[in-house]
Amino acid sequence: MTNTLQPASAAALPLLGLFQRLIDRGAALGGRDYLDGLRALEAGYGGCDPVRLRRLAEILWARTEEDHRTIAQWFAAITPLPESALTDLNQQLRQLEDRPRPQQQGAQLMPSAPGAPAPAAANPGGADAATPQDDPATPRVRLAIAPASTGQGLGLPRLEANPPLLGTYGLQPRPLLQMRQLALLWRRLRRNQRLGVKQELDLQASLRARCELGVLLRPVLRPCRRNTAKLLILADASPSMAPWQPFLKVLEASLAHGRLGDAALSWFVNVPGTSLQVSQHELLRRFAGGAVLVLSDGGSARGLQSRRRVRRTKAFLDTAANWGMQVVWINPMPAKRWIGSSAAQIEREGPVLMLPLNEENLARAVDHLRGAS
Amino acid sequence: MADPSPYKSFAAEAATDYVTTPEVAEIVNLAIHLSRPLLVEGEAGCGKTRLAYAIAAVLGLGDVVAATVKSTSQAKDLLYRFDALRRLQDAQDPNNEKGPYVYPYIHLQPLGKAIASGKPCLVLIDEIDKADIDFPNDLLDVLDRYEFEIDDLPDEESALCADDPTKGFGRVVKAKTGDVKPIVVITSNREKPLPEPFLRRCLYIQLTFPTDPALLEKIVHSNLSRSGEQIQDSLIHHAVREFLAVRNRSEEFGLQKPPSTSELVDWVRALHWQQRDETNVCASELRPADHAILLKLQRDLESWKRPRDSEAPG
Repeated sequence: MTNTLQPASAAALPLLGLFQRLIDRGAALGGRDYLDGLRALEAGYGGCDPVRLRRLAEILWARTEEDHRTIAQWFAAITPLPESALTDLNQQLRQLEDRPRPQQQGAQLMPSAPGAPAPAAANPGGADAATPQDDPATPRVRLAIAPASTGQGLGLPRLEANPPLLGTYGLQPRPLLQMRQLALLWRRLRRNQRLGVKQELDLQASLRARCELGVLLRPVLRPCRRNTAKLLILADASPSMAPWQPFLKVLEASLAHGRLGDAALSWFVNVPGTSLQVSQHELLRRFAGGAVLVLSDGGSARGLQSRRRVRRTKAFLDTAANWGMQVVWINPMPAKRWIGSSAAQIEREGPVLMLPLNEENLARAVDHLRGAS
Repeated sequence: MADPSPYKSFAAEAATDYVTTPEVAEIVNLAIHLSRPLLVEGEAGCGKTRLAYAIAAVLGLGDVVAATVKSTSQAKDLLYRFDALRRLQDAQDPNNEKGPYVYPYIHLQPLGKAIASGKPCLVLIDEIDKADIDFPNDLLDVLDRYEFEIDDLPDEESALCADDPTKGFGRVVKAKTGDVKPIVVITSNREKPLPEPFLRRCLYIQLTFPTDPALLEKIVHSNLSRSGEQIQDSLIHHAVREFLAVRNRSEEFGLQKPPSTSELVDWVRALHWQQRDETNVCASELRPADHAILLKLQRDLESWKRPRDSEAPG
């Protein structure tokens, strides 16, 4: 009895190598997706023509640009299938299993005997089908981060070698968190109150009225529950926060899906509350009693320390507390970079709960803002 | 050996009043064969909804079971509805025998009916992007297993409901063994991004605007034949080329809503009614009526007119 997931027999499963590569590159595919691929092949879709096979793989498994690129690279590493290869697929698969792993991409793609069909092309699903990235002869690019001592600013990424331009690279900016994750996070901020027009059936009151009067003239209605929770996000627009601008944009867009009573994102430079759009008083009045999430590096990105900044930030935090606001500070820099910068002083003297930016800490921040911790 | 599909194969050329490509037809057939939902995206007016009707027509499925999504829609709304108010009213009447029970007030909705019937049919979930972001994910499980539970139906009434000839379903609604799963077509204008698990579950078609004049002429002819209108070929031929010029300029000016195929068909009709011919139809000299048909947004209209003013001689 053989295990189909073992490499030897994996080669006999069509497109398994590609499927595994897609998963390795982060595609959210499951076993059922692969089985669907087998069912489609069984039904005659894709055939053994690489062009049709590639199209089938794209239809079933590609949903992002990266998926399409992975599939294109995988098929580009395969030589076209000779027509004669289709006649004896199983025999070729056995040859492929017996053959040692080739050293070079060209040799790997050549048929084992002159005139014989290319086995890798007949079964591109072979888990060991190579691509340019697997070839040890291909120069690899390493991305290095210049060393930065604690609190001494942001390291600049530098390439140690020129990248080999083997294909087109479409670099897609990715938010740290998807909008959906953020929206679900905001939905945990709830302060439900019955407000507005009476439009919801009050079953208990209706039954009570029926029992008391003996007849129900009309159903008793009550206002719907509404979330009255307020969330103000104060985002730092300083140049040191530029790398997190795409995330802040997603953050801003996600507020509309948070089902909050009132939510807004207001930009400031260096000191929260010094809004670029509206006066501090207006902001405080609108979000009195609500939650405030500050997103700023507090000088830690560049390792700066400013007593004036700390003093003014503390003044804002005190004012916010007077308006009944809960404040949490999210710092996109790791905690060890706060040391020696204004951020550490703000955290200590504010005092304010300051957390490094990640999904877990955002959930913790929301818990704190809703009074759960 | 593959199981024989209860559905016929969808052939692009078999659609009499809808023009599509073999590539689209292949994806449609795959979705049917694998019982996976088909997500159709594309700019407004490019024929997403019409594709569903064309599939139903070619496959002989009769009327499309359509559910138009609203901003307040919940996934449950596609499955069943519990008429709580009617039950409350009935409960006041001591002579009403239905009052004490819940099941008479549970009504299956389009997708729920299609799953319960177990007969070949096509369910269209139109404009899914209008709904809340939870909507697609709530549907994910239902579209995966073609099975759902009616939360409002008490367990003790499940058998009663199943035995009722007007209902015929229990608390868990699912297709019986040997039943056929419905074809589910979902359209989206991409106003909101859909969650990745949902995208993964669906097979995906992106309908793009055709740039081949011959194909556009075919689309126009196909639409006009449906309504039985007779319009001169020369007018259609000329209008399509001028329309492509309008479309190119729309992209050049960065219009938010460039005219699409539905606008083209409307424009050809309007040109015919206005008794215009090749001599007075020109992309660079559109009339106010043309603007009304081709440019739907005030911002786009202003943007369209702005460069024309600057092009004036002198």
